[in-house]
Amino acid sequence: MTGFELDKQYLDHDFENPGNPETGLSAEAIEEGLLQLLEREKDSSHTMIKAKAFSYILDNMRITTSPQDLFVTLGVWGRKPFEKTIQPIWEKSLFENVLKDSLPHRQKLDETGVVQFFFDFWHTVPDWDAVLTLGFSGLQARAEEAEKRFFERVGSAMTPENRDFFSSVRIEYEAVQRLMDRICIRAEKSGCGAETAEALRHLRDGAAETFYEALLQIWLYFQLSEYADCIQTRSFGNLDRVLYPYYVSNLKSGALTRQDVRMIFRNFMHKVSSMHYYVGHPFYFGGTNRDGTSVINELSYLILDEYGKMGIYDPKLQIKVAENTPRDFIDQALSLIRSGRSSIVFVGEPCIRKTMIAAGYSEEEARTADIKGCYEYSVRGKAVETAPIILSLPLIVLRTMRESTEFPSFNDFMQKCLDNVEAFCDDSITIANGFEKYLDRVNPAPLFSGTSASSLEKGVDGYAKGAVYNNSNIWLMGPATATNSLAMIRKYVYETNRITLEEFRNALDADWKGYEELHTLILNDPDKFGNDREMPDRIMQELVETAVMRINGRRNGRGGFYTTALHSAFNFVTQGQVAPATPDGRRSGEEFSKNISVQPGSNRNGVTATIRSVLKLDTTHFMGDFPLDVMLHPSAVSGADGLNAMRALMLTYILHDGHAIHFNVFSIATLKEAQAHPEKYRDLQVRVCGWNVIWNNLSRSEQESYLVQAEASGRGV
Amino acid sequence: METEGIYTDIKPFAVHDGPGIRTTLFLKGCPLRCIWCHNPETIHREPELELTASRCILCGKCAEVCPRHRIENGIHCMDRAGCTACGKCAEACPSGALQICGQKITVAEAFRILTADRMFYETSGGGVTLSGGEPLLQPEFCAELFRKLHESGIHTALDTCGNVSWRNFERVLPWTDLVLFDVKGIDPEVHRKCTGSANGVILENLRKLDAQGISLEIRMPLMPGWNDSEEDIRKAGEFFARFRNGPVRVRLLACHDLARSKYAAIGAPDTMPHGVSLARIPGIAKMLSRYPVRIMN
Repeated sequence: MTGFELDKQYLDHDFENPGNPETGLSAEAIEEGLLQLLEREKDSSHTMIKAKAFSYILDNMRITTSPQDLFVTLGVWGRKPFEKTIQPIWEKSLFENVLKDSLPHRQKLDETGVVQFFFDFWHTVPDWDAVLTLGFSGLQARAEEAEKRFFERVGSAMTPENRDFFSSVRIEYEAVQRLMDRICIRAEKSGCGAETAEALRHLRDGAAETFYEALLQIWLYFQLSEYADCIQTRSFGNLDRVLYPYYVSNLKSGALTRQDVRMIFRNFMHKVSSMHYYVGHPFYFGGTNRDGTSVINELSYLILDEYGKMGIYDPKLQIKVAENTPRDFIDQALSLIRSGRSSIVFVGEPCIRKTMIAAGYSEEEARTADIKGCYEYSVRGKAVETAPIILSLPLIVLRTMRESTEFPSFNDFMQKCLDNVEAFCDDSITIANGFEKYLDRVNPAPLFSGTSASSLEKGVDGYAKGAVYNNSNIWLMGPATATNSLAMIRKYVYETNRITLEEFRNALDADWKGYEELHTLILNDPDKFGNDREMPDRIMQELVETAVMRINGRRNGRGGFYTTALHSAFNFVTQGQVAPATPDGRRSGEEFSKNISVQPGSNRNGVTATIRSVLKLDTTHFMGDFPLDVMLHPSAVSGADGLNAMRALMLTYILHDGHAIHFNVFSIATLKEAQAHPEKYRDLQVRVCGWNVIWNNLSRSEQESYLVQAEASGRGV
Repeated sequence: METEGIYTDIKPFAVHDGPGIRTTLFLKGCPLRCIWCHNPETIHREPELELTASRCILCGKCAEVCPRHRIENGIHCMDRAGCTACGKCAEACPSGALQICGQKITVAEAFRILTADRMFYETSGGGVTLSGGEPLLQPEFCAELFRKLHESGIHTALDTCGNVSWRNFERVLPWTDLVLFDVKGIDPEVHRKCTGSANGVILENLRKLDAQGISLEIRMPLMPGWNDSEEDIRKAGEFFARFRNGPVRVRLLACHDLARSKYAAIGAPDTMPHGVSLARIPGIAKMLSRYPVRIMN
């Protein structure tokens, strides 16, 4: 890349006010224009309105090309004009009209606080192989060809929906072409580098031919999909795999040096980082190729090395670990984590493979599944998966306590609790099935559907059963808090008879005030999940397996099935903040347990006991995901011994079918020092759930919760 | 009757006590009195009452079961004289502030607990380490436990100060895969000053282990101003140079004063010198590397 030098300062501020004002309308003007478009087109189908809205956004959005940047900035970042204007109107209208009969039922569920529902357009990964091999123009040509074939096949049976679908894809890709024209003209005017201008022209006219063009193509598609079409691209993909052929070819021909590749990637990662998106943008390394060899290659090491030098937390990285993943690559990642780069997570291919094969997927689909989001996975290029429901398990336990104080035995209490779990699963599935049928009416996805061979074949939107796999995922939140609560009820109400259920309820209502001794006893009680103790671990199995039996394989509203995940997102904090005290000793407002991890402060027997407890569950029942968070004290993983131990810990988990594991390695002293002197620790980052945050961006109470965990790890647990 | 040991702690995920991920069982009782001892609760063989003041919630439950405890002016006071470590107060304590340090354990129970992490041992090449205190003060327990572990394919490491009869070593060695041998000073006077004991038996045992080709790792705790002079390191290097099965592996251990609170917890006089030797480790490693040794740090 002749003469190009990375301008970190320029990139850091790139997205503060994106897009050159000379090149298009302000975000406010675009939003206004969209509302006018909606009014004008009110008799058209939502599919057509969406395509025209997308087209309008692209024709009017601001763009920036700069000699200081190898990538292009589109002025819609963070604004999502469609999501702010038309989508909420359609959502509201859907519930008030089409789904009005189910509204009271939904409101009743909402009031319990147990269930949260989402229109989920956040978990999609395009077929990156198709995007790269075809480019925008090739995708458009393929869609037009598919429309012809579809018509030849079905003739007059082609429905208006089919026609609108193909038209919407065409309209959106034509808009992309016009945008690419604008970008190319702007690139010439703005004096950006010759390579950039040339790459943009190539991408306007066809598919990527070089390493740089391939990454630029991914970047452009990502911005258009995520911020203009409002379909979140939940992974940049398996970048070391898809970019490797370009890398090899460009190095061989001398078109690029390794230094050039580093520079391009550095620019790309700075670009992602400067968006400051709170849940991060992921890409992943590794896994297994179709021929059974490891994906890890020279480029994998290079990218990871460059990432390690940058000290950023977004993009967040996943490493798909298989039996043949090179140990030195794993060590390179672990070394980064040890030095505080905790935005790297390990995801186990063996677990994914077994889970998917058990669910009926092919061996190849199971082996080559894409990692997306925080640690989720789905079949590469063939899936539209959603997560419409989050169920709070601790709140179900609390509700059961409120229903009666007359349970004669713990088994009766537990049974009622499990009945409630089943009832909440059933009720929430009924509601979600109702609204998920209409995802394509709330936010049709022509750009994304244009990358899906299956959608084109079926002639329908990806969110209208267009994908091959259309599964929905239910997240079970706070399983350890719920388990520990049940274990304490069993022990103190029914085994030692220290307290009645009614008194226990009073203690929770008082947030433990006046019950300090009981509170201390419960907090110190080791019969909690994650200590490899039989009683709580059995309760955990019973609790989550009851949900699994009720959820897995149930039909959803989009022609697919439900799967279960033990995933908390940020809800373990936000829901915990508004929840009363729980019987496990947790005070009102404190966080719930995260993912399948232990409740902060409850670990007594160390990290290996936690993994033993966790692996008692059948991980293949959780096709959504099954992530474990581990906090380690720096002294436990120092030196070569520490690195070996950390690697062994991770591999033991993954080779015994654990799904995802991520580490935070911090001493409490460092974290407290950073609290006291935030100015000295601007870059200190910690992993929250599936993403990282800067320590000093956490609220004081969030920091305190985190310190409880760090303190436990300092005690060697 | 089943053989029993007396122990203070079982530490899982021990990563600096031999290869791989290990579980370390700390046995109680030690023939040395190292001034820097990081595990003072393991010195005496008898059970002791441990008080972690920071955990005390001043509930007074201990005072209800034992007159030696009282809460006065918001402070937990305890009269240790005459305490038999009967454990009643610890049983009554809801916060875990009071605990009995030194519990009996059978070989079968220890085996069950120590094999729970087998899958981690297998992935990491780890196993079980017996430490203390001095484990070889309980040779029958160690021998029986190591035999069972060894026979079930688990790597065994013995962390010893060496100040025991050779007969005790002989009982355990057939089932020991690695001996972690503490060397606190080659010079007898330095050793006596640091540990209260001579080192003749210790060095003789070490020579015998070497002569028998036992897998060895020397561990040298270094306390600034006590046993880390150039002279101390030269003598150690020369001693190791005479090993038949050299170069011997040597790990330099930095002393710190993080264990100071443990002395208060058991009501023992604090003998720990002030000072941390971490910064000196690289220099000492350099000095020692002039001799035929393999520095493991």
